[in-house]
Order: sequence, then structure tokens, then C-alpha cells
Amino acid sequence: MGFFDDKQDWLEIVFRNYPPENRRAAVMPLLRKVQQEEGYVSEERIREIAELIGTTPTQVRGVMSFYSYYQAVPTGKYHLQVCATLSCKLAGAEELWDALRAELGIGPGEVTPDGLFSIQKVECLGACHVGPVVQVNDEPYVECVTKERLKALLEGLRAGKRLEEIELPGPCGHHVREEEA
Amino acid sequence: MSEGPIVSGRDPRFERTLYAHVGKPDAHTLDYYLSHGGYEAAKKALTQMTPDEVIEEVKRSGLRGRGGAGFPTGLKWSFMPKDDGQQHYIIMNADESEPGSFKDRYILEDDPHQAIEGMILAGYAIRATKGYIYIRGEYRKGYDRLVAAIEEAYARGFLGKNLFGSGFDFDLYVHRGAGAYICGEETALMNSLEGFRGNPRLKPPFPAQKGLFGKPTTINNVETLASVVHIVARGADWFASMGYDKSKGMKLYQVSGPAKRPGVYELPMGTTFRELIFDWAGGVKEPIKAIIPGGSSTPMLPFTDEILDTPMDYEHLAEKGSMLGTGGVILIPESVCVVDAIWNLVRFYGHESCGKCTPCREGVAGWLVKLLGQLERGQGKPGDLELIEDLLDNIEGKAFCPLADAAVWPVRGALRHFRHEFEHHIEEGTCAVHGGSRWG
Amino acid sequence: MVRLRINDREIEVPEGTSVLDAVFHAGYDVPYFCSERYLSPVGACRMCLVKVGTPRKGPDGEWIKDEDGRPKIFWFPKLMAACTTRVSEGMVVDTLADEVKKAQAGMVEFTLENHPLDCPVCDKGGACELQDRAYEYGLFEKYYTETQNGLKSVLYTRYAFTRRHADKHHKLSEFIVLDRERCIHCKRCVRYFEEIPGEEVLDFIERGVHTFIGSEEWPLPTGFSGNITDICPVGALLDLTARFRARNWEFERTPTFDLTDAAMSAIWVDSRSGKIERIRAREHPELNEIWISDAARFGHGWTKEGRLSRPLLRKDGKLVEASFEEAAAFLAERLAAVKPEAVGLYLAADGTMEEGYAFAEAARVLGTPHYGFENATRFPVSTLPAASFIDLLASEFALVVGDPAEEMPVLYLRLQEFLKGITPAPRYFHGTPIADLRLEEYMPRRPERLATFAAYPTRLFAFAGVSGVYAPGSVAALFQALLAAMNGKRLPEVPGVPEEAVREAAGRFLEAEARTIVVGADVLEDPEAAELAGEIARAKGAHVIAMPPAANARGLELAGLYPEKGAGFGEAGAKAVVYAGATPPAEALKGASLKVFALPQLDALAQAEADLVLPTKTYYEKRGLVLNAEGRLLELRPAPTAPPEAMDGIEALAFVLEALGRRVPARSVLEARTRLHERLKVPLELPEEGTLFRPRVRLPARRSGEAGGTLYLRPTMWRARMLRDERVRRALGETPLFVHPETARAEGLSEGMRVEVVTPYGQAPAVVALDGRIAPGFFQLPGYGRGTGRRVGFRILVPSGGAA
Repeated sequence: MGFFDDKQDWLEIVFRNYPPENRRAAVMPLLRKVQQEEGYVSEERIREIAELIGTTPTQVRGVMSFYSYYQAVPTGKYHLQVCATLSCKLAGAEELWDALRAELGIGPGEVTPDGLFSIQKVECLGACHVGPVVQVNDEPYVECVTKERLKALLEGLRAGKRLEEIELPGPCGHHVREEEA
Repeated sequence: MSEGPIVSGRDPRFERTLYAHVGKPDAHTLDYYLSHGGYEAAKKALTQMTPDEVIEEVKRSGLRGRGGAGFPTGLKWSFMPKDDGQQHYIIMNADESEPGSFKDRYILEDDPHQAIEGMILAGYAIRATKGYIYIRGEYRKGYDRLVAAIEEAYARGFLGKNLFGSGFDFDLYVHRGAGAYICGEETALMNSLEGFRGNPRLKPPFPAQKGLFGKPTTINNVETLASVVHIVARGADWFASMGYDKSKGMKLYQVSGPAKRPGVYELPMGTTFRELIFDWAGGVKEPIKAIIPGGSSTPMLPFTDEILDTPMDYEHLAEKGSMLGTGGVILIPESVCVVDAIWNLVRFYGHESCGKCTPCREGVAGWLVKLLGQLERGQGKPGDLELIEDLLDNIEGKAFCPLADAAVWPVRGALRHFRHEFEHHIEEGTCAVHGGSRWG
Repeated sequence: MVRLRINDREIEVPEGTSVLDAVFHAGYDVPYFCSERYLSPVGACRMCLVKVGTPRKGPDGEWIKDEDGRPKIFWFPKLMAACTTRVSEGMVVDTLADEVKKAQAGMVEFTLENHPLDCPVCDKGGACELQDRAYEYGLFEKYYTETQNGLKSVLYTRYAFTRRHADKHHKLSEFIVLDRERCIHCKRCVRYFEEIPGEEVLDFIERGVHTFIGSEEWPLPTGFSGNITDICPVGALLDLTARFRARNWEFERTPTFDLTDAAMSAIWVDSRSGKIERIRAREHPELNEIWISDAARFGHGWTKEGRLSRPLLRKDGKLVEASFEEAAAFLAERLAAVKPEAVGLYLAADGTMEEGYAFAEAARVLGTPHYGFENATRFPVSTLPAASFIDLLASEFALVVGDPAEEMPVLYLRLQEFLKGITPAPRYFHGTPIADLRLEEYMPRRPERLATFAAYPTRLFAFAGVSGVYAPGSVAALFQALLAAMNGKRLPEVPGVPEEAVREAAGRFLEAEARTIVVGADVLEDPEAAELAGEIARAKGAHVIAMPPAANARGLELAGLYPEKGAGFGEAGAKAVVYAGATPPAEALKGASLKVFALPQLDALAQAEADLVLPTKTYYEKRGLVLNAEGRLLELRPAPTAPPEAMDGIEALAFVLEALGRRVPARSVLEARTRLHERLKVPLELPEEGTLFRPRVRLPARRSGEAGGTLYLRPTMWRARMLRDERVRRALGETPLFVHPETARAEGLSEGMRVEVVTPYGQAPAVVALDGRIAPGFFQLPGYGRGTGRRVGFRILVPSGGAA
């Protein structure tokens, strides 16, 4: 069965976002849907998407491989994306990355034996004031990822908690509000 | 403090607008927005002004693009054809990806209606009945908030047909990116939106002639469009009362690195680094040696009194050999090796090069990354710095789009002010400074 | 026109010209990799950076002047890519400035950073744009490094990192191999597929320094894929038929024309040591631009195998080598027993006009009605006035009945241009624009400009606003219906085609200002349909481009070889037959007591039936005139690959006539051409690109020859002889036998079943392929150039064991 067979209503909504003669504009939302639900985009899904948007699988793969978010190989249940760019680096992102690798015993492109985790170094996530930042799957960021917070995050995820249920210790200020100034 | 241009956040005449509601509970809801004067500017423009009058007001305000390039917004809008019978598009560039920049994110998350109102205004001015918000894929919360806000706006008639009874229709869509810095470049963004690889396109034809889906299109940054809301609401004169010369209005400055209170600060254009860092960001946590003034692509400056007292605007920073960029200030502490920091940025640009043109693909993503990486690891050779500078010449101004230049400038800035640290790497094979762990 | 200055030279070029073309037009050079003629300029390689300045007008509308009173030149702050910069009035371009040289050297250095220096083992070596440009524009200061033994070796880049490693032997199809290390990312191949044949089957994968050319389609669809091996500026995309066959400078390069189909694309025949090793496209701006079909390019392998160099004579039932004297004696003896008027003289579809003249004249001398050429259609194509591809581009609407992608592949590419509304480019001193700024990537193709009908869904269907599949044999009904719709009459029924499609096609046809009708073998094999097509063209005003299945149909018809009453090529009737260049179906030999073949190599029929086989040349090796589908007269030039004793058709015919003791109408190409000149005003000398030659010809259609079976033979760009090459067989795969599912059920056939199909051309294996879109009641089989567009009788043998 095709991935999108039971998602006709959803597809219709997505295609409505673009002019009818530009169906291929929907390639990114379609790829994202697959990535979100299956953890990677297989050759089979590439073909399915090409069919849906009226182009060739080659073109879909060209687009897919252009972006960092879509994965060609399976990822863990929790795909941890660690920002490695300057501001996060100044907040210790490199040490965080090393610690994460050591803790999970995997490198990029690998999945922990329990299928829970995979890791990826990504570029600036736009949260430079609250680094280091980790993004789990397509969820809102986990910010100020100190040693303690990383520990709590991994524990929470291992315990099967949803991201927003996990309590992270310590402060992480968003210095963006007038009254804080 | 109450005469002349407003150039300090301490000036009593200065009032926060863009970020006035960021962080407040329920600020993202339509009810909150309406109870704080929301959609009044749109109503005013659509019912009392012609599109050309809106453009004229924006021109008069002196607003320049807040995405980094600083192109005058009103002028950009005036390039759009009139009465050509074609579909026009307005695109909000919410692909905020320049390292050191995180200002647009909180507008999207906490005040999405402000962004929507900016889109309506711009759409009206350039006669675009359809708008797209291209939001970077990682901004999940911003995306969720935007989608909810758009739904609310449709339900209450702020989007859709015949807005404010003016006869103007406006539809708004959100498109998510998926991790590509280059898609912040406007033509690459359009390619990405159309379902192609995010390579930049040839200009001409410019987007105003042939943009999204081949139709006349204008692309503006989130902060730019949010500023338009307040320009229309309060008038061009109010906006132009802030800032020097050709750098007018308020600006969202961002501070990251070892400041005590890193964050986003809305201040008048022309505020000094000193005020931003010490008055607003609470000072520094450790000794600082360099400032990256406006996002990673702007050349770094030394942390000196002269620089600290420089007003942060287009002209003053150009005088110091750098740029305002996105206003994203990154502080580089004494204990961090400049070579290490620059290598991190060059690596970033290398990773984000789209691969379309030779100087960027082979020069930035290939050669510059390898050579600086080698230098950083202590394997540099005498003559490497001269070679780097010669090859920077061969990249700068020669690539297809500005990304390669954005990789060149930080290297140039670092070599200009911290050449000794590079030399130390070559001579000693190691960093000039060794800090401890930076991870808490 | 726009006036501008390139270095020291003032020139005038049309508006919209790129600076790149202006530079070449002025006689200067500028290096480039990503630009290519007929493709969109993209400005990606940054090799063509030059210094550009323009004058400006002041507020008063006058040019701002410098101290000398001349318009002041404002230089652009950056160097500009010449390929994507448009010329403007008064522009000044400097291609020789130091900063330009430095930028060019820098760009060569970048390009070489990851390019392997394996030129000595690269097939492109010696014909490589990167090699040339690196030499001309590379580091102008030379850098050297000292090797261990104290020798100096040149450095091409000033830093020596490990180069990018990638797949070096990535096969894209049976015909093309990709070396990803050599790729310099010019994107010509990617753009080619999207812009020219309209197939998005190659793309960049990944990004940045990791970008590589990739495809999810394996193998690349054949048809037009080979052109990427021509346009690749380096040795990244190579022709596997020629892999490691020679260094470029060892090839004999012969400029001639392809006779696989009636378009007759201009080609280079690259041969070495008497063998054809490679075919490349040769530019002909009006004809094939720089493109040829895969069949024309990769289908040459058959020329190498089993070439005859001496006559073969049947002795004791076996063909054995004999001397020409023995052969002559044998002929004299056997022909004496045959009345001259019972001799049949037949020529291959790729015979030249001189050969055609000689055969027609010989038939007249002998008084025989039995003559003709291979694949002559029942309706003579010459009766339809010829139109050129340029006429198509000037049209607004095209009605295509047939399958151009297979019948005349180059026309299919021209149709793609037509769909995008591209008109011929201006010509410069250097020829075709290298950076034609009118061209863009992903230009929309306008389906409303095209209606197409065929006996099966063709490649063109995907691009057409109106399309329809008719049942084989109902093409006349289609034209009746179209004419009726145009005249507002009641429409006759067209089996398979809904009335709505006919009405829409007719409506759009009438709405358009300028029209072209393209007809294929289906129409030419049905005189009624062809007459109607001609009538519509005359009455409503339209150009007609006919795609005859015989390459030189127009030339041979003009030369007088179109049969009138007697037995034509492939028809039984003559008592003694001479077949030159091609063999007929076996049944055509019924009742013939003497069978003489003139062939480059033996085939199964000659092996079984020939009394005498004379060694001949292939068309690659001949001199002579040919007339393409557009009525363009072209001259073939011989590649030096024929065995020394191999004859052309004229010589073979002379050999036969002399044995008969009859007057020989022409002994040489020159003599035959002189006769053609005298009779038909055929020019004796031709320009390199040929010339339009369209005398009025009126020949009666042949009412005979319609077999009326239920096996429809589809047109294919590939020819049966090409299948001798194993590589071609592998690429084409198993031959499909198409059938409607209902018909299959009735016949007890199922998808994928392996069968043997017995046709007049022999027995061959095929695989049943069900297709609900084609008409029930018929079977369809690729014809490989034999019986194209005809319906023939056949038998299906299901081997014991049945389905696969």
C-alpha cells in the first residue's frame, strides 16, 4: 500500500496551497510528511511522490538530497539534531556532541540498537542566545542543553515521555522581553 | 536626549513596537492582538490609502530591508508592475538562517498576527492577492503559531475575500523549508517554494518582473514587513525620527556569545554596541576580544572602545569595514581561538554552499574549508595566509550569488584584526589561546 | 541593433545578445564551460567573467560625458559573467584586463581542484574543453614542484589536497558511462534532458562540494540520451560504444549525414584503422542543431561485423568466396535465361539519388516494370510539398499524426522547441549563439499548440493538449473526421478516437494563424489519408512535414525509382532480382530463379536464398546526394572504412548490366550526378550545409501492397541491422508484442508471456505486453524499420511450457 493512499484529504489540503499547474511545489511538504512518519525517505516513497506531483523520481531525489532535514537512511525514534555553528559552539556544542556520541555509542547515520536514537550535526538553528540547542525530530527546540539538561532529556525520552512532558533542570532565559531589560 | 534623532533605547521618546508583545501570555492570539491595536494599520491602509500611497509612505520612512542587504523597501515595492493583469505574489522571508540571527523567530512565535498584518499591507501595496510565508523548517513552534493565527484570521475575515470591505482579497499560505541556508537568498527561496532544488536563479529577470511561478513577486524579511505595520500605523515621520541619515527606524538587535543576558533587543537604529552589550545585554561574562556585528557573514571587529562607541547602522559600520547585516551580534571571548571560530563559520558556509557555481563549490566548500581546517589543526605552512588571501580575491565578487562573499568577509575580517592568531597557528602548530570547557 | 565596444573593436549586434556572443562576434575569445549552444545560459561556471562598463544618462536624458566629451563609462563594481549579461548601447567590454586574467586563472584553478589529472587514459583527452582552457587560461605564472628524483613537475593548482573521490565507472545505460570524479558541474547534461527532449532524468544530487550527477531512472531512457556525451565539456560522460577505441587525434573524422531516418542529421563519422568507432552529432543549425538520435549515434556497431570483401557465389548449395571474374561469368550465364523485362532492380532506403537514377535508368533500358526502393510508401511522399523544420517553428499550431520520436527523432526535438515557442536564433560571425539569453531552464511547453494522434500513445502525448489513439487502419477516417469538423459537417466515426478530441483538434487548428501538419508512415501507407492531409493543408493553409519510413524517399522518388505498375521492393513478380543494400521479406523472392544481392554483410535471407552476393559499401562509405524530408539536398562524404573491393550501388548495378551485355547508364557517382543535373537541374556542387531542392513531383499512389493483417508494425528509430550489435540488443531488451487485454484474453495470452512471432520478415521472440490504451483486435510489434506503419499477417507461436 502506498504511503499516501489513506491521506487523500491531507494531500488535497497541501495541493491547495499551490497553483494547480504547479503541483511539484508540494514536493517539500510531501517529503516532510514521509520523513516525519517513517523517519527517512525510501526509494519507494520517492517514486510515490514523483507520481503524485507529476515529475520524475530523479527530480524528487535531487530536491530531497539538497536539504539537511530529509534522510535517506532510517533514523531512530528520536533523531537528535545538534546545532554546531558558532554561537552554540561558544556555548559548548562540540563537547555536547562528543558527549552525546559517547553516551549513545553511535555516529551520524547510525541508530542505537534499541532503535531509539540517531544523531546529526546541523547548522545554525536560530537560537543563538540559548545554546547549545538540540532539536528532536520535528519538535520545538530543546535549549540551553547543559550536561544536566541533556541527561534529563535522554532519560525522559528513554522513559517514553513526550518532549513537552520532560522537565529540564536549571534556567534558560529568553531575554527577549521588555520587562526583563 | 529629547532632540535630534532617536539613537538610544534610553531616549524617553523611544517606544518598543516590534517586540512590544513578544513574551506576553497569549500574545499570539487574535484576541490579544486586536485588543492591542491589531489590524488597525491594515484597515487604515485598505480603506483610506491607495496602494501607491502605502508605497510612498514606506519610501518616505526610509525603511531598508532587515534581512541583511539593506535595500530600500519602498523602492523595491515600486519595481512591481502596475495594472498588468497578472497574479502578483508577496513572500515573507522567514528562513532566518544566518548564524547569530534569531530575531524573526519570536515575531513568528509570539506575535504572528503582526507578521500577517505586514503581509496584508505589502500585498495591498504591490497588488498581490496571494502571499507565501517561507519559514525555515526547523521553526516548528513558529510554524504552528503561524498556521493557527492564519486560521483565526480567515475565520474572522482578516484574510480571504474583501478585507475591511475594501474589495481587496488576500490569501496567505505557509511553506516550510527543510534545512538550507541558501534558501534565504530570494531567488533560491522561490526555487525551493516551487519544488526545485534551492539554487539561486539568474537576475535579471528580477523577481518583480518574473518571480514565484513566473509571476511578479516581492520578497521581504519578517522584521521589514512587521516594521511596515508600524510605519502605516504611526506614520513615516515617526519611523524616520529614529536613527541617523540613511539608517532609519527601530531595529531588532541580537546578542549571543558570553553576554550576561544574551537575547533580542529592539532599539533605535544607531544605538551603540556599548549600549546594547552593557546596558541591555547586561554586560559580558568573560573578557571579549572581538565582535561579529551583524550575523556571521559580517567581518569581525575588535572589542575596543572605538568600536563599542560605534552606532550600529549601515553607514557607521561600513566606515569601520564591516556591515549591519541582520544585527546579530556575536561576542568572541578572549579564551576562544579566532582561527577556531572562523573555521567554524567557513565550515558552515561550505556546508551550505549550493554547489551551483565554481568559486563557491570548489573555492568555499572545497578549498577554503580544507585549507582553514588544516590551519586550525596546526598543519598550516608558511605562505598559507598569503595564499588564502589570494584565493579570497579569486572568490570575492565572482560567485553567482552572495553566499560565497558571505564566506569570504568573515575570513577577511579575522585576518585584518587577528592575523597574529593565524600566524601563531602556522608557527606553533597550535592555538594562541587555550580556553577550558565551554559546556556547562 | 546595439553598438558596443569589445576591447578595441566596435561592433553591432542584435538586441538581447549576450556579452559572451558579442565577444566572439568581435573575434575575441573568452573561456566558458557551462554555456552551450541551444541550451539556456546559467552563469554557473563563472569562467567567462569579463570587465563591463556602460555609459549613463543624466537627468537631462543626455549621456554623461567624460573630460574628452565622450560618454563616460561607469564600470560595474564586479566582473560580470559574459554569458548572462545582456549587451546595451554604448557598452564597453574588456576581456584582456589583468583582473580578468587573474579571475580566469583562478577559476581554472578552482575547476582543477577536484578534477583528476587522468587525461592520458581519458577518452576526452585531446578533445577536452577543460584541457584546452586550462592551457589557455590557467595559472599564467607556472608553479613547479620538485619530485623525489629532483625532476620538476608542473603544478596545476597551488595546493595539493586529496581530490574528491567518487564513482568513476557509473554506467547510466548500455551506451553511456559517467565518471563522477571528472564532472565539473557545468550542468549541461541536466539542462539538456529537461530543455531538449523534455525528460527530467538527470539531476544534481546532494549539494555544495558533494554535488554529483545522478539519476533514479536506470537505464537512462534511450532515444536522445547520447547527445550528453557530445556536450560534456570533459570526460565525465562517455560513449560506451567508443570507449577506449582510440585517442581523439587518431580518428579519421568524416563529416557526412545520417541516413537512419529521413531527417538526415549531420554527423561526424569517427573511424580508425578502417572501422567506424564513433558517431557524433555535427552542427546543422537548420536541420538537427547539435542533436542526433541514439539510433543514429549508437547504432553503428553492425558496420564492423562480417564485412564482405569478395563476391560470394552459391556452389553446391553453399555460398563460397569467388573472384569477380567468376561472378561475372556466372551472371552472364544465368541472366541469359531471363527476359530483360522480368528482371527486378531494387535499392535500399538509404540509397543515394545517383544510385536511384542508375537503377531507374537501368530498368528503363531493360524495359522492366519491376523496380523500386525499400520502404517506399503506398502514397509517394514527394506528392506532398516539403516544408522545413524552420517552418514548423514559425507555426502556431501543429497537428501530428504519427510518432515523430521514433519516425524522425530530430523532428521530435524540434517539436519540443515549437512547444516552447522558440524561434531560430540570430547568426553571428562565430555562428550559433553560445549563450542565447532567450532560452531559460524549465521554459513552459504550451500544450495548446499541439494535437497528436497515433495508433498507440507516443512520447508526444504527454506534451499535447489534444491526443487520441486510433485503431490501425483508421487513419483515413481520422482525416475525414478532421476535415468534416473543420467544415462544420457531421463527423464520421473514428475507431478509438472520441469525437470531442477531433473537434478540439480541428477547432484549434482553424484558430491558429500558421499551422503545420506532420504525418508519419501510417498516413503515407494510406493514400486516402495522405490525400486528405494534403487537401486540408491546401484548403486551410498549412505546411506539411511528412516522415517517410525510407530515409531517402524523396531523393529516390525524384530520381525515378518509385514503382508504378510492376513488382516493387519486397513484392514478388520478377524472375531475376537484384537487391542492393537491403534484403526483402522472403516471400518477395517467390518465383525468382536468380537472386543477386549487393550487401555489406550477409543476413539470414541472403545466406539462405542468394545465388550471388556482391560486397558493397554502407552509406557511411558512399559519396552521393540525398534529399531529406524537408526537401533539403545533402551530400554524403565517404568514411575510409569500406573494404577495398566493396562497391557502391552504381558499381554493383554496372557489374550486373555488363554481364547482361547491356548499356550501362552510369558507371560513377559523378556520371550519374551529371545526368541528374541535366534532367532535374540537381546542382553539381553543394554547400556544406546542403540546399533546399523542391521540384514539383506528381506520382500516382500505389493501390497494391496493403496486406491488411492484424499485426501493426510500429515505427522505431532503431533498424533491424543495428540489432546485430549485442550492445543494442541489450539496450533495447526483449521485443514487446503489444496487445489490448481483451484481445489477449481472447487469444489466451497473458502479460509477460514469451512467444515467437512469425512475420513476413521472419521469426523472432517477443514478450506479450498488455496495453489497454490501444485498439482491441490488433497486435502491435516494433518494426525495426521494416514494414513500418503497415498491417501484416502473422502467427504467434507459444513455446511449450507457455508463460514465463
